[in-house]
Amino acid sequence: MSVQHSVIALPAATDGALALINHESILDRCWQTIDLHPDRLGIAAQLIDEEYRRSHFLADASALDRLLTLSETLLLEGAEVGEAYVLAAQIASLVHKFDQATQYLVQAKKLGASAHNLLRQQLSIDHAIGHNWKDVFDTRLRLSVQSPNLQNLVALGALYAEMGLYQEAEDSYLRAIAEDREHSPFSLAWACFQLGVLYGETLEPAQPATAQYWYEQALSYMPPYTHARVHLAELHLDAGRFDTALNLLLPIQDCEDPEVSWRLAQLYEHKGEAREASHHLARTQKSFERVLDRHELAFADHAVDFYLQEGNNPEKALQLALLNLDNRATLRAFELSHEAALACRQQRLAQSLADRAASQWGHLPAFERSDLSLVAIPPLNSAHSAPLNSELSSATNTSATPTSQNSTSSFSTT
Amino acid sequence: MSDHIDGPRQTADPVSDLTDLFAFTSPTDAKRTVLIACVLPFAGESALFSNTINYAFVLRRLKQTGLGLQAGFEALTDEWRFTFQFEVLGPETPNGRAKQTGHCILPSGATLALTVGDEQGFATSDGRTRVFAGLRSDPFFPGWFPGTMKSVPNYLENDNVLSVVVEFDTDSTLTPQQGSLYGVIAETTPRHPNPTSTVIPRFDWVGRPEQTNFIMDQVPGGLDIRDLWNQETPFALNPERLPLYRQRLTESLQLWDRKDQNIEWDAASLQAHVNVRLSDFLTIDVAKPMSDKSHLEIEKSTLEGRPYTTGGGRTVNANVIDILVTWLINRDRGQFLQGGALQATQPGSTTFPYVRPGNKNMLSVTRSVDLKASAQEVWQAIGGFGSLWHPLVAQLTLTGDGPGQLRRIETIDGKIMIERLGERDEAQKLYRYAMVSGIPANPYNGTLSVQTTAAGSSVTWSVSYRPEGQGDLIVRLIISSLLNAGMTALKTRFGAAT
Repeated sequence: MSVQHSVIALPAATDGALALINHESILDRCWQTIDLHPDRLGIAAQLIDEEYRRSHFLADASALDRLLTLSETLLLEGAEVGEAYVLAAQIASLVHKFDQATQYLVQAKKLGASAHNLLRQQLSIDHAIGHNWKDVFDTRLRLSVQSPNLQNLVALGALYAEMGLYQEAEDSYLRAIAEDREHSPFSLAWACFQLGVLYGETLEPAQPATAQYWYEQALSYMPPYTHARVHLAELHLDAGRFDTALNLLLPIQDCEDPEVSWRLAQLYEHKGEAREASHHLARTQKSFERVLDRHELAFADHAVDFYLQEGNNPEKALQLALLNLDNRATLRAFELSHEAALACRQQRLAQSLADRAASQWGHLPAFERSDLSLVAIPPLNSAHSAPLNSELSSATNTSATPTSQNSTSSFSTT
Repeated sequence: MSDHIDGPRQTADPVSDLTDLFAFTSPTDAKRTVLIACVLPFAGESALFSNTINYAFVLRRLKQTGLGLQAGFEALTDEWRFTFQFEVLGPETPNGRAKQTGHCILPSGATLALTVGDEQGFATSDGRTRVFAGLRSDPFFPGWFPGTMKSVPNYLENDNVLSVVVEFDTDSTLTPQQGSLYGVIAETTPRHPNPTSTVIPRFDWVGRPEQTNFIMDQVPGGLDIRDLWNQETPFALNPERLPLYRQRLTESLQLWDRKDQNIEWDAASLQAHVNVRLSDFLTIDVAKPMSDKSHLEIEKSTLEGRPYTTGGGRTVNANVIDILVTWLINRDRGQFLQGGALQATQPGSTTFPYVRPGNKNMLSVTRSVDLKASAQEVWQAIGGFGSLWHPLVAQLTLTGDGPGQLRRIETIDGKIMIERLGERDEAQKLYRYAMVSGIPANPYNGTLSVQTTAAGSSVTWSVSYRPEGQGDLIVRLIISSLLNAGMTALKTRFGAAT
């Protein structure tokens, strides 16, 4: 697989520092208002957006704590209002409590919540747990045609990437950036970050130079973007550019995101500074324990990687991987569980997981590229990949727009 | 809301979301015209303008093209534009965060530098033009929910916005001798348009209040076309989309007219009204008097086939929602439909910059729960200052008696809080207390009360505070969690009243 990364003119956006100030100002103000008027659901919806931004861009896990408090408040104050349950479902989804989110949606429907809001939230849940994927795909595609805005196009791009349709994923992300009309550095940084992940982690083999470019663009829009810093630092670490990696991580070293201290631990280990490495590894251990204690489902998949590597606790990794798999049976969840089962020398479980993955996801191009495809025994009645590939190809052609057709991308698979 | 969050896109970057536009003659100097635009609904105290957005006022001279059923306004081509642009923040100073600076590009092309938040504003050397930009108390005060026409208190109470204000000498700027009737709009556009975008480079614009939320978005089941509208070029709507807008406005105005079961707008007059609404700008005659009551008078008189008598416009204190819904529903032939909001949190001032500083309130958290049990039963359980009922409290000890009594609380996770009783009223079933230590807030005042209700009782627990030593987000989480846990426990113990 070889790629020469696309060069597109990146849109201007509000300066990241200004946007962050406004984000914090709105957040403060909305909390003050919701506490005076807990029935103002519009404010609650704004709060969910702002706290999610905080969680995603600044890796502030306390945002999830506050959202759960907001959910309690909404259900205390709006027990008979359908839209309050939709918002509670949105919060439950954000902390990966998908069963609870689904129950809230049932209640919301009973109480007459708007069909549009119910559909939007159900789509988000189904996408996250890998349920009704064909419907999710059709809906995401339809939304991106009806409203080709950055949010819809990035969400579609992420779905393409999960399905293994990388060309389409790249097209969708690039189109999201090209069509941006918002000037929000948060949104643009998010789209760039997704491209970084596509090139740096999803593609095999990865294309670190291109991934680096997109992570850097994400940081140019939103300098404190924690995940982008961590991923970029990882690229520099792998390339032996230790000081560059360190410069990216030191400004956010106090962040409670365990990935930051984990990366620092790896970095110091490579630099031969064992004492610092040990210090940061201990911090990572504590950070994971703390976030798992508060939001186990939300952090389970991240923690699996850690416990399989420096965390050196494969049993815990397997326990978390299976918990995550039970919560959301995505291909990625199967891969993690399989890896953890092998690390625990549970061959039969590993084989069973690979077979289940083949049964559920064997029809996707992503599965063909997964290590699971090498060991899985596909069930006789499973969907065959070839017809589905052509079905998807046909569907995706209908989404093509002048922009995506004219993309300068030379993304290709070999 | 006036134009608050008027479309899905506006929630993505609210700093481009225009909430309101005002245009009026200065109440202290009839020779000066004032324009005010507001953005960023729910702005907090530290809010700032985007460095990549043009915040602009545009005026065009208008010609009345007809009266009555032929009512209409034509915007002529001569244009006056005031564009505010802002910069990124400079490095922090020893006194803290740098102030945001910017400038206003005047119709002449000259620029007037400004600093955000300076209450005095900035004037040209000849004094003809004066500008302001900064945080203000939201001047809008809606008193009706549009869908249900439910009368409600101002649901933007205590909200803040960012405002840009320009005041200018009318004669030397607008040459009203050649015609004193103007259309005014405000718009937000990209300062550096996306070179690859295929869409129209506009974030938002606003003419008359509530063209989008109260009118275009009030047709049940109708597609949300507010974003489409917001990207139109003011004064020059796309002719291809005119039928869509015409249909939406017709459907909406019909629905509004039927809200009181009386039809005041026959088909012909309704179409004339639609035509006027398609010319979406604030109409203002700078040669005539304006007041809090003159909003929409120019349009109304034109539609009724008579000469207008006021300058129209929109003052800061004009109750535009009540004026609008009365006109839409009963065409001013019935009683004035007074909603539940009489004024903004801080009514407008008569002096520059006319909109008031942002609201800075004591923070508060309030929770209440309706229970099946009687007020007496609930008060017996929780009304004592030393009652042990809260699930997060492991131990509680009292020192002293009556007001001033101290209680020492040890929570189940080992934290210690000390609180002082301020007042306890057995008859009213309430007590007030203050935090001495344990939560990073000072002052911290709490009230717990129980009231009798038809279904049983209602418990209200409220805390007002200022964070100390920790950010509000952390303090708020602590307090909210405490109150939520208490209320949830009461529901479990006494049963929730339905």
